Amino acid sequence: MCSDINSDKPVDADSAPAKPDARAFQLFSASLDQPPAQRESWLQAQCAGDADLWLQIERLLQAEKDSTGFLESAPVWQPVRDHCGEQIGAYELIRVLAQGGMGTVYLGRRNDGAFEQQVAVKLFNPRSLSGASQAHFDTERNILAALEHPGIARIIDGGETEDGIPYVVMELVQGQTISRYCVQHKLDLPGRLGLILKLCEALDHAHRCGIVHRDIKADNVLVTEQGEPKLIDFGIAKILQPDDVATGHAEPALTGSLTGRLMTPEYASPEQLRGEATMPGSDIYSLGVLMYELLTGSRPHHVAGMSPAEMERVVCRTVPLDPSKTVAGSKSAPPPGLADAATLQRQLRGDLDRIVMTALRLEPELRYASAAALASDIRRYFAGQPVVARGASRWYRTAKFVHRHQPVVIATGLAFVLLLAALLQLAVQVEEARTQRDIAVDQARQAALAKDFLIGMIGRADPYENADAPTLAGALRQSISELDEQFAGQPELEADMRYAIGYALQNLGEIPLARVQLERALALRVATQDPLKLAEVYDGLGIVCWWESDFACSDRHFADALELLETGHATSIESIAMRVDVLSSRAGMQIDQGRYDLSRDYAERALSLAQQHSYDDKETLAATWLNLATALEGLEQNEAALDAFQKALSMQEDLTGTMHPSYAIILNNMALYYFKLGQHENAVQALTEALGIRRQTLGEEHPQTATSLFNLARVLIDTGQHAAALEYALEAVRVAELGYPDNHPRIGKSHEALALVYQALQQFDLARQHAQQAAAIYAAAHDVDPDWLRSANELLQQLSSIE
Amino acid sequence: MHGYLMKEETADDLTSKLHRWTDGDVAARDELVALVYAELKSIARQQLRGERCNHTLQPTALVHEAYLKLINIEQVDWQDRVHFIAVSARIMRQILVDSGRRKRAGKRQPDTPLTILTGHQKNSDEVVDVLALDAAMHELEALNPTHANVVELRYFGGLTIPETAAALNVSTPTVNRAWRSARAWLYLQLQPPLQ
Repeated sequence: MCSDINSDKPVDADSAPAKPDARAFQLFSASLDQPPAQRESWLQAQCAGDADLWLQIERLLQAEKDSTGFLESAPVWQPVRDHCGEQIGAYELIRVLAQGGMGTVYLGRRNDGAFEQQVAVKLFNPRSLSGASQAHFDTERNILAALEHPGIARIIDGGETEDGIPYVVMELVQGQTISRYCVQHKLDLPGRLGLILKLCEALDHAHRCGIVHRDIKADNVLVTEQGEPKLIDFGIAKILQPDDVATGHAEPALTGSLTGRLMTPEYASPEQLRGEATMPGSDIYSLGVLMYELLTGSRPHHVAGMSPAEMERVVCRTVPLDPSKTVAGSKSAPPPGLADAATLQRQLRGDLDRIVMTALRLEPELRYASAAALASDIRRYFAGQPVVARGASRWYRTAKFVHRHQPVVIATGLAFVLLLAALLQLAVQVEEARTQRDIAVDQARQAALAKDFLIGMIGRADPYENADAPTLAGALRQSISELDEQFAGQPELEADMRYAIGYALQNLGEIPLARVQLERALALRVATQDPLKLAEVYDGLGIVCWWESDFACSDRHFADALELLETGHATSIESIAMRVDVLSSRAGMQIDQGRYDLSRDYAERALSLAQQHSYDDKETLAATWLNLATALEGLEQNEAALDAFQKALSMQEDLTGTMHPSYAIILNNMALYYFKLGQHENAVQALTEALGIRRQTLGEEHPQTATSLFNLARVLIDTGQHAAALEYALEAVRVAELGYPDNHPRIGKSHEALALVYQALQQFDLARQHAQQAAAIYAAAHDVDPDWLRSANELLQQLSSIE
Repeated sequence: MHGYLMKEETADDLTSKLHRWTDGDVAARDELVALVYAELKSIARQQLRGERCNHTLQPTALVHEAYLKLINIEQVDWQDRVHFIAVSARIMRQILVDSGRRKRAGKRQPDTPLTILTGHQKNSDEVVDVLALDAAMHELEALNPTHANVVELRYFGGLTIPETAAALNVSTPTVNRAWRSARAWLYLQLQPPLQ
């Protein structure tokens, strides 16, 4: 290879002078720095009597003269010869399907008159096949022909053309490569894992037959329209390379490149790159690369453009980043069909990271022992069972246990979950009790533990606690039908369940369903006469009515809750906490109804109650101050409003620090308040700060970041800073398009902001264009505020009256 | 390769990758390579499919076409083009070498080399085996990576001397000297053995 360039090269038989060595070339190059007239004498001096060296330099000097114009015009090359129309065996070649390093694949057709069959015919590069291996080729082909599995394209026939080109005839797979398939079908995470799972099964079958694929990569997996993946080119590399070790360095002299070996460097295992024997574990590694790629959108190593030595060093010595970390660090969004980067990162972190990284272990013996073992781990992941790749820490197994039963239980019967959960909790408790020489846990305690556990569990599935809960509503819905049966004769437990499910449904936006459950919980709790529990349900119903914009109903329920709390355990801390919460919600609801006076009263009551009883839940208090600020803003009590905004900010800062999305929300509302007062500079300052926070905490492409951007654009138009406004508005459109689903009204909002900027800049054509886009988006959306469409149409009218 | 990335990228993302790379972000270069490679291959494939024997292809024209397709021209300046071509030249060379191998596969005589015209003044239809050239380039790389870079940019990327200087961030005379000596060396390597 390159490194031995300085040693004596084999010299041609005619004993031509040795080609220039490194030293000669170096001197020759350096001599170009000398004035032309002195070059030769300078070189002679450097050679200092070394005749051989001088001879080499003389040849270079001559070559310099002769090579004028050499490589001066662009290279030109001729396309590969086309075998279309030729007959190979029983098949006519119709057209080229694909070209790869090993040869060309044609669509072939067998026409016996009686029946017609289409196949793929692969013609090989004859250089890959030495004469000695011809027998081997036949043997291998026969072995492969016996390989039958629905996930593997079958070898039908093979041989050598009249011209001596080896070929194989394979089952024609009507499909597209797995990468393209995933993009076109916007395949989600389970869909992608499902394909990998099927590939594992096919691969395991082949490995059991003693056949290694050796070149697994995205291009060698085709997926049919029915969604069935098929491995193509199975064992083809082996056909052409009978002896791994010997041919691992088959053509280094030719190119000094790994491409001389029959594999694809980006998918090749470390042992393949080192030219060592391949084994089933090498396929598992390559499948790991493919899996990494399908789950993250990038490959574990970026080796494109590297020299073979660099490539080998990188792949053989470095452990790639965990897939979740790659997603977190990636500058481009995950492939279509997968969740946004933050969600995907969470989905991959843990089990999937470990599964992929186990397949990608540098040491073959530390990878999965078989493709079946990899498949089992993927299945365990799907079932929520502990994956082998993660080892068996007690914490991990416990976490998995709880997590696994979350959806299953809800879907199949709460009693089952309760039982398991109670058992789990009890096991822990009993262990603790034993160590503390405590008394045994009694029945009642068991039941209480079970209940608390379940409620907590449903709480964890709440979207505000856990964003991965889009299917939870469905699971909850299913569980509702089983509540009657499961809790017959246990009204307290039934009420708790219905309240928990109703509250979770409310947070998931399933309002009518939530109402039914909360009303049934109410009926059950009325009988139990526990004021706190009853108030809790009223509060839930108040929120449900608020969601439905039935403000009178909402207010009635909040009032009921407050009345109960004020008469019952009036001074218990639970009661105070709930009263503050209910008052704060009621204040928020009144803002939506436009009753700022009532809102202010409730918020003030909440705050004074909290102060009186030293109730210090910062989250509730920050929200309450924000409600108060908004109410005061509505009442045009400007100074008091500003003061309340600042209280909300400082409360939020105590709670989370300033680098938090909630802090940015308060800043944003405060900015709108400044804007209304005509205090544009303050507005810009608050919006800029909010933007900075959102960029850092939510990312450049988050919808809330878009909101900050177009708000900034709007304010800057009014302050006459048109250039800056244009910059923010353009960015807002870009971010909104990335962050929101297609045709979301907020995308329209950003186009509208951009239209206003263009209007201010008197670029009316562009302004019209974006105003039209905004109006079109609003018109197509079904639940857009009619004011939005109206304002966009007004803007359009204004613009069309301008020439 | 990276098929779906391709679909998702917009011209502006590419431009920004280019900027990030020229600002020293190596990952951006790798992403760029993957994209350009896919595009070049696809253009070359389209041409090969549409054309019959006796037609020829100009790799530098393909690079230019890929550039037009991938980059939003209004947003890039002259230096961006040079950097884009610097990436493309390496890829083009690889594609040519791969075609060289395929060409051998397709020929009846196993050892017929894929040849490319060199534009040598004395003998305007002189050809050179692309695989031999590639092998010589590898040797040159070991001797002097800058020299090899210059050849790659000039020959496989079609850049002029000043453009090459800009791409490598060196002076024009430096490129000129490197070009002259590298070319002499390659010429010698690729000479048929003396009769």
